[in-house]
Amino acid sequence: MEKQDWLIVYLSLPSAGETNLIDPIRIMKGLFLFKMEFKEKLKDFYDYSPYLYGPCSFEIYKDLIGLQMKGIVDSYSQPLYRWSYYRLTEKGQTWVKSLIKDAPTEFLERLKTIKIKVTSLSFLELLREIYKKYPEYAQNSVINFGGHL
Amino acid sequence: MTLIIALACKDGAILASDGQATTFSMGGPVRRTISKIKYLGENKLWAASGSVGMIQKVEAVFNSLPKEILNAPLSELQLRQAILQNAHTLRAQELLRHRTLHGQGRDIEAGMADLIIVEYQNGARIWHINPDCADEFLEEFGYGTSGSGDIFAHTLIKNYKVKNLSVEQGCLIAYRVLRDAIDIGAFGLGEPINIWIIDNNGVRQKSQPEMLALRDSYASWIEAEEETFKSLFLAESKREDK
Repeated sequence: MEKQDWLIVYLSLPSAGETNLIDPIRIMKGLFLFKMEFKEKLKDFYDYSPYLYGPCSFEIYKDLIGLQMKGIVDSYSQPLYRWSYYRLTEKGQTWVKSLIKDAPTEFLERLKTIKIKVTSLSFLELLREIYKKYPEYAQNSVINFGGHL
Repeated sequence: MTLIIALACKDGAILASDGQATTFSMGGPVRRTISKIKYLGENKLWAASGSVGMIQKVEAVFNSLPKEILNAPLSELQLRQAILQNAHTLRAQELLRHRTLHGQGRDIEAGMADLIIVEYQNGARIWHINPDCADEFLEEFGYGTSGSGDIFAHTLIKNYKVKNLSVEQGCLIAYRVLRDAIDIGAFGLGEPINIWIIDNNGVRQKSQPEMLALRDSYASWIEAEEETFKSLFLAESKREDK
């Protein structure tokens, strides 16, 4: 599977809440945790660098733009809400079925668990947990937990 | 209407702006989307607020200057004189045109351009040229700003020690100031936000994925601020309850 396929599969998986919309931070962090757990086995996955909000892959943004242009993903934002939320379109939901069929079970099950976890934590809880586990990715963060992780 | 922000960071310089201009039509002012940030020789960028026509004339003058002058650092007197003399000539011509048509006492309505030139070459420099061609270097303050929305920038940027920030952090400050100014609805300011940087790797514009990442960094920052405020407020309330 290509890295972009994993992004599409991730978007299709259930969240902790009822909504199928997910903010970009939780996309970024979920796929980061997935990569860190399977980095020996995942070939050619997204590159992450320590950014202003911790681990960030600019390739994921690029892919989200590309998938929106292909009609597989759409984004949803409201005035006064600061996040743009992403979800699969109907075309995306059809598309993902064959990807899920091809996905190795071990990876897929772990990705499901990661997404539930990532979407159940508050924004700061999520960052705190990732910064604690991977401090090398927190070095450029604008959110400093004051050494009390 | 415009908001331009220049930041002198520890490892580079930033020039950022909103992306909306107002031009005139017989029916009234018309909004247009434009790129306000432009190259000016090696390791330099410029932008201007003011009337579109005057800014276009300034650009034409810059484009006509010899490359060896444009590529010189801002510390070179020859470059600064060439720019100032040309800006002065344009301003004088415009005032003459305006006075001929409208008489004395209405100079404020004449076309004008307020320029900001940013350079990074062994350190960041911010050169501000007022519409009347008085000029000043602003890097010691860490930032410069121009345009009708500049009060937002002064209010917000003064809280940050820009000179100690990295370019990446500076980009976030620039994004926040522009985002807030646009969201508050400052008249005539609008999307898209454009951010350019100059550092040891040269001059480049932030790409679309990088702008999305900045948008999310901004949202993260606000989210963290709200959480902090909530915890401070709740801690205070709990103390009062006791």
